[in-house]
Amino acid sequence: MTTETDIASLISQQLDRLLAAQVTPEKRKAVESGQFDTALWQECEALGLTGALVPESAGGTGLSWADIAPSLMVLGKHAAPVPLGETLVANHVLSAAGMAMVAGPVATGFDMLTLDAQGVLHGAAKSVNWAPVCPHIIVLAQHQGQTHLCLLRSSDLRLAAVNTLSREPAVDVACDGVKPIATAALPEGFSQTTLLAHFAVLHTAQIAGALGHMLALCVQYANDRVQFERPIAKFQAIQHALAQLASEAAASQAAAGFACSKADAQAIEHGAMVGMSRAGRAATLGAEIAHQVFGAIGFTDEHSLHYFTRRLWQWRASARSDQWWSEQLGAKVISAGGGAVWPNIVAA
Amino acid sequence: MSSPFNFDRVVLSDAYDPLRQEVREFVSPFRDTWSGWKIAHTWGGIDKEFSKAVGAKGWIGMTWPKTYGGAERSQFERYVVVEELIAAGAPLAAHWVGDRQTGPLLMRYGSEDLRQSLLPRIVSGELTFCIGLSEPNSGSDLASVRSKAEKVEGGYRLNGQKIWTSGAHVSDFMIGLFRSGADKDAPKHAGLSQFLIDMRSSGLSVRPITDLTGEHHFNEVHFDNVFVPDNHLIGEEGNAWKQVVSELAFERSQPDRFLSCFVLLPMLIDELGTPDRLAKRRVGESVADLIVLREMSLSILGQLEAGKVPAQEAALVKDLGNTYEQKQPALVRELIDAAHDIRPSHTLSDALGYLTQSVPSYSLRGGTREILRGIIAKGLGLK
Repeated sequence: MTTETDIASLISQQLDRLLAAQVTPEKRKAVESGQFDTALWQECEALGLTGALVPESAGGTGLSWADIAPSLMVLGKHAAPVPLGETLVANHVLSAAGMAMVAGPVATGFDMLTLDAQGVLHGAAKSVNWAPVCPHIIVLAQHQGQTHLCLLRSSDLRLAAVNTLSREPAVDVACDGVKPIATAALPEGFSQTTLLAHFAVLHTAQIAGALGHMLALCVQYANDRVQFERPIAKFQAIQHALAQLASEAAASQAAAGFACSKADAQAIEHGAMVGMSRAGRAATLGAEIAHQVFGAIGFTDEHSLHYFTRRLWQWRASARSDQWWSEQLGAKVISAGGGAVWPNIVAA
Repeated sequence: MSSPFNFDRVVLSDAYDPLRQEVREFVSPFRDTWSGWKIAHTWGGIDKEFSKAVGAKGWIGMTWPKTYGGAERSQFERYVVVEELIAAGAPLAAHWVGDRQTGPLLMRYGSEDLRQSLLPRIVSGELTFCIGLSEPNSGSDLASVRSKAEKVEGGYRLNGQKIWTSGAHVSDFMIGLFRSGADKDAPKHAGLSQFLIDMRSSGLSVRPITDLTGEHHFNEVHFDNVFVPDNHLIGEEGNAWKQVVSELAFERSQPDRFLSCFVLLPMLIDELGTPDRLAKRRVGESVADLIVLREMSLSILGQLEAGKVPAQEAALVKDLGNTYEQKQPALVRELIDAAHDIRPSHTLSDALGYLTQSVPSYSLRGGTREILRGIIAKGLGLK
């Protein structure tokens, strides 16, 4: 193990303890009603994760995606009501453009805007998750034939609330006439798909964490819930359903590991295609099984299961959908021809 | 994060690329002569000449000690060879059991003279083994086997019947599970022993069972006072259950558990023409599933190499892997509207014809889906 891995493992344990102690269903409900837990955010920020993927030379921790994968899964495990993963990825993207990371939570828009010769933006960024609680937003813009990254101050923007499945705060952002507070060209080859891939990898790991936790919740419930004079865990139908949930949770965990490693190997788009294709389908089946096991109580607002299932549905469709990533992967595989399928699968 | 399973990532580095290349170059001229129907059998197909050719390359028993003819190469090198051969649709059944199970079993539990006489001949691809587990009244409930081994002067006398014994008709030896000892009150997992049985033994008869593909893979094997010498008892008398179970993590997590239909995928892609969005999605899903299964399988191999027994993880991989394999023929049908014709002149239809018929067995062999899900559930702590 490298020192970085030791540090990363320590951080993920600290994050797990912090979130286990602090995150309650009430806090998740609060953030879904627009009340942001600033104190919790500050404690998370104090762990040093917001700059985890930023090189040390740029003021970050210089960890790899593989190093922080456990932390990203922990965020999913607790359905954390803070945009910590989103911010650390945004800071990573800022550093890729050679820009300084920023303090506080950062939201990211995925739409491609245009930046004119006067340095003024045109267009809108749709459905930007977490933007209402973030002082800064980053967006992509075409400028002189090149993709640029623009850092915007939220207070300069017109935000229109959007409802999403997770109910975490999201907005459409009108950017016409707005001047970014900083702008830099992204490296050659960093496209809109590359940006989306960063978030698809994040969400793959969050899905893996959430499914692992839902599995534990379901096992506990099946052992406790008595019907027909015995715990429902005794029924083979329940056992087999949970075995399938376990398989999906395990596959999403492996998918997240793969996606993070590809992100470290300058192949983040491939990582996102494979990771989100697999984890997105795991999220779909996993949510179905968990709700079936919990029965009516799991369908209530009062029960906390929906905080996880709604986030699974959110994450599988946030940075394009699992279906879209599957399609990208398929297009790539098919265009390479049948003879290349196997060599590409086993390429290290 | 605590988890009921562990899938830490293990990567096969590009240091294995030359070996991979060597396997591809080896198999390619053979493959050019194989029909789609034959390719579709892949590791389940019996071809003794091909097995001898694999043996001549040093790719059977390649991890075993040199004393026994092995090459002392790593499990990861073996993995590369195995996955490359299966992906190419190579027929491996004539040496598969010896390489994967019998050899390792003999090295762990066999007597020295058995090791010396048998292992080098497994390595050369000469010997074929079968496994005698199931009986007419013992399928998933394997511990209920009734075939008996009775102690006699100098050895044991075997009586009873095995069924669904793949390859018994072409095998030189069987590793069979028999009930020995007379303690009726002992738990049923106790009192089971494993024997090495020469298939030419007097009193042993093999009767074919044709399966639904029209082929003969399965057999009934009858034992009528078959004598086996003392040194053909494998391991300890009464300890077979433990010996059998310890192999399962390896057996259930290898590429044969998810690559059985892989050969269809390249053929399908080459027939897609201009793919629509659905075809792209479906192919993408299939490749993503396969990559993740392979990640899980390699992780298990890494854990086995580190001396762990990831039985839970292996059950997960086999269940996911078999489910994946079984969907492959349906994927072809979905994307190219394949007909029912099985034409040797059309490789895909030939391969699809066999695999459509063969896939129902994948979630039966090596532990049914229901047994695996029961194991997984138990491991999850469902009480």
